[in-house]
Amino acid sequence: MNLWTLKDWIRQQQFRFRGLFRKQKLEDEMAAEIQQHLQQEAQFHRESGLSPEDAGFAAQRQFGGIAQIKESCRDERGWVGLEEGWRDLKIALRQILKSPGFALIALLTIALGIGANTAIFSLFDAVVLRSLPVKDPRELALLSPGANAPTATVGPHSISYPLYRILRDNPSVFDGLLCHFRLFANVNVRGEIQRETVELVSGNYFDVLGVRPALGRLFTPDDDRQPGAHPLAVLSYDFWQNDFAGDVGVIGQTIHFNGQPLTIIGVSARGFKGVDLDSQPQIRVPMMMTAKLFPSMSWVGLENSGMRWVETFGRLKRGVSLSQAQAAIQPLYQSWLQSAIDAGAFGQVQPADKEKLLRSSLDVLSGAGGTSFIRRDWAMPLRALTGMAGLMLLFTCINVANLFIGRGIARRGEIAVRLSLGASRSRVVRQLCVESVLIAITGGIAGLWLATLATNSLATLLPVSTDTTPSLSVGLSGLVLFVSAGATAIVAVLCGLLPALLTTHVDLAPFLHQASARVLPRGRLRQGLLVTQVTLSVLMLFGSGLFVHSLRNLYSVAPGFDTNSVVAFGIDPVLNGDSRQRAEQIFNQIKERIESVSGVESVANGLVRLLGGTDVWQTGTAVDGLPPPADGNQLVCLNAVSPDYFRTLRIHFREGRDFRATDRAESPPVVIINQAFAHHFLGTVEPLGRRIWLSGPTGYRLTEIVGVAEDSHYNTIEGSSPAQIFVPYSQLFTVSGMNGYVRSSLPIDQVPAIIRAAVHAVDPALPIHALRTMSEQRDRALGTERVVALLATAFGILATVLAGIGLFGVLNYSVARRMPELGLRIALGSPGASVAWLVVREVALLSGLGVVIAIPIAWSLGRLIANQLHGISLGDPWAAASAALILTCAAAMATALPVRRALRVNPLVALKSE
Amino acid sequence: MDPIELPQGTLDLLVLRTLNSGEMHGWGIAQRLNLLSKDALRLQEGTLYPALYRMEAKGWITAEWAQSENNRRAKYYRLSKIGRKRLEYEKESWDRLASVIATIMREA
Repeated sequence: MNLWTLKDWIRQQQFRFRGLFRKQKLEDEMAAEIQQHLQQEAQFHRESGLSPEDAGFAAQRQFGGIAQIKESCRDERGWVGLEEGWRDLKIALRQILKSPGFALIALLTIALGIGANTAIFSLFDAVVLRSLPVKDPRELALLSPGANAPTATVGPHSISYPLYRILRDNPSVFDGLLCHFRLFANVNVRGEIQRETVELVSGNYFDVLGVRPALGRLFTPDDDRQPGAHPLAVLSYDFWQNDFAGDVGVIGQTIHFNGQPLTIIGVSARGFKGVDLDSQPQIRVPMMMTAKLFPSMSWVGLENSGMRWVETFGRLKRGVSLSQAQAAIQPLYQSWLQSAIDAGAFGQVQPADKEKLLRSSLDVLSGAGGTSFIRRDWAMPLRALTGMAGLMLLFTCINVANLFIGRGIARRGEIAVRLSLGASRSRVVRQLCVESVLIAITGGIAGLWLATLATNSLATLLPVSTDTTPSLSVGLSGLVLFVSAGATAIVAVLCGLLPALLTTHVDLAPFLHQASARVLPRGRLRQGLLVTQVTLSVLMLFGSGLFVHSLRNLYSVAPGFDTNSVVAFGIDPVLNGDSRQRAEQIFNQIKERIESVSGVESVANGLVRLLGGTDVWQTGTAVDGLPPPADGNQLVCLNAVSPDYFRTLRIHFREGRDFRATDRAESPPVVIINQAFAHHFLGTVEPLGRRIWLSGPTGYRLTEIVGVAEDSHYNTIEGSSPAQIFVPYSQLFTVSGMNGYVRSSLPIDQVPAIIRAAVHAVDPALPIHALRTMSEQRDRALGTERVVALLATAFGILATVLAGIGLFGVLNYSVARRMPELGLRIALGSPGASVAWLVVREVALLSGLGVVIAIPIAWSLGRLIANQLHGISLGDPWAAASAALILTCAAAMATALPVRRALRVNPLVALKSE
Repeated sequence: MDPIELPQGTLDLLVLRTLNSGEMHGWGIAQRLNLLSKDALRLQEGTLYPALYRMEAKGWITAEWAQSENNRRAKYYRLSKIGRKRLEYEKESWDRLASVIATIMREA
């Protein structure tokens, strides 16, 4: 039966569809058939003795209402809705083409609103919402030590390898746990050594993530058993495509990785970029190869329980929640902590600290989105920007609704005629809605197009402090498309339905009696919308003003070293297999070469890149013979630097001496501290000659303070200079990596070529990275602030333009409404100024009201973002005043045209139209 | 006795049954229904047409313009194969319904 019904339905639709193309014929046939019926019926009645006239009436009575029957026949036969829709569409198109200016403004407004929303939301989606492209990402959990965890760490979620091993071997609530660590390596690809982002991974890494090979095979736990015994590599799909041209013969080939030969066993699936949004590791190697491939990483170590470095993800067993998992692993974590403390993994632990350590927890967080510094830094700004974009959409709606209401009112006469001729209100509303839906959809599509343009450039603007290529894919995902379609629908409804309902709700009589403009209503709603718009506009201008002002303040911060004539570059000879001594020799040869160029003043080396964002080296310390600082904070920032470092960067000395060439690895350990350190750790005690505890090649040792430098910024521009310790680069025994700094009086754009030439001449196999001027480095360090300020300003300008269009629309309408009155006044000799004031007064009052409402709101909203702002007190009237000023200018510009129109009213014409 | 209102949907069955005996135009169907029911049905003749159009759309009946007996062009309706099956089905279910109702009325 059901199948029958379905078949009937299909045949019906086919029949109706065919009917579309022979509408007139069917209509004629129907008329003829009914006519025929009536004639036969009448004849029948005549034959039974009625007069011809009565026979006709009898036939009609017998038949029923002809018009109604015809209508229900049409219903059976055709697509009435479709036909009417098509008719509405044609009428709407005609209306739109009649006033292209109106349509264009509405369309542009919608395109900008939807475009801004889609662009920001696609960024928000890519950075905050999107899950990793792996199997069932919702089942992934990230293990992260909570407060009070052991402090020696590389990243916020790192744990030590021995802890990972225990968790892996006792998975209980997990189906498996992986660990990974991202770093750089020098890789020989077909004769050329490149610096690549690479990843050490546990043997079950790909299994746990559910990633398949694109070619060959991926690691199994058997590839990660014995330290140093698995010289294997898995390439990422992109690396295979770009550096091996997708050659299927790579399997079994050898690549040299930090000078060590590795056999390529496979290529991971296309689209898989890892669990870290900030980078795209190109090569993955087994965890067990750490020491063999990265000899300088002795400070981590697979057996070192005291150093947190690997990041661990687990796949939760089906039905296990994050909190259940967290509760389940705590006993294991506590017993491991106890045994690690007992084994001295964290050094000498005071009883109070031991209590604190044992109270710490191992948190289980959602791992669906992977980890990311970009997300950490951008989640808040993007939320704020998404909110702003939402406001913009509201603006768009208000504006376009305003335009439509204005036009609807102008068309009231026409609408009244249609209603009085018997069109149902719903029919007229529907017709008006078709128009706005048409404009909204076109605007929405244009907006999507704008958004794709914007997202491409926005994605490249996102600052990456890790000097890696982020694996974000900013684009129009299904969710993004859904959201912008939803936004378009909201715009269409608000801009179409609301004005349509308003304008069709009319008292017909006055319109039919006189097509006078005098009866046009003042429009309380429109005034309300306008005030809202001005208020929101001032708020956005105020917000963007705060961000711009804050950025300006950040740029005026003196970092304590010279950023103007210094160029920095990164090299790491140790990754090529060179020894530390050899690496220093290489650097000194490069230094000599560069310094031999006339105009170059000095070259120096530092381990940690200044203003490098996440490039940080911190440790806890204490001064021999002094109590720890009053606030208990013993964390300091370290850097290992060569002689001339301070001179090259223009960091001034307070007292003591610079490092010398004689401060060698085997000579007595020395340090230079900064003023912040002296103030924090020493107070008024004379620093020179004092000794502090620092870790050495064989445990903690005392090192002597030989100099005090003035304060300088470390990894960020924000905040003040942290307590810092500088150690001689020659006495560095752990990590590798060098950042050269070149000071010269040459034009700064000539320096990079000099550096490249010198490095290449000394060691052609040495890759250079992060070669940039220190002012570029500062730009990068302020990347987040710059992008936020840029976007906020763009939004502020957009909002002001929209408010201007809104004001223009309202004013233009009110001039039209008051045309006869204005004409009369001009005829009676009113001076131009008073006529102009008459016109402007309404807008001036409304925008004034908007500004007045905005200021207290701006003030309280400013408090919300205060922690993101630098050096701005909210009492500072600068931002609010300039926001009000800019808006006033925009309002003045918007009023110019309508005022001109008002002043040119021809009294005769205006009065005649009464 | 007052004329009977047709229950919803039964008009289709009656029209199909009428056409079972051969092709017929609209007025003819109406006359035949009036004749067979001895004018007991209160049939607004016009309501035949939406039903005819509906069944034509569903493919139960086909229509063709032809010369009528009194030399006028008229639209003739004829049962299609689908319509014939449909009639059997509808008749059967009508008989079942009628007998069920009759049984209940008798024995309840």
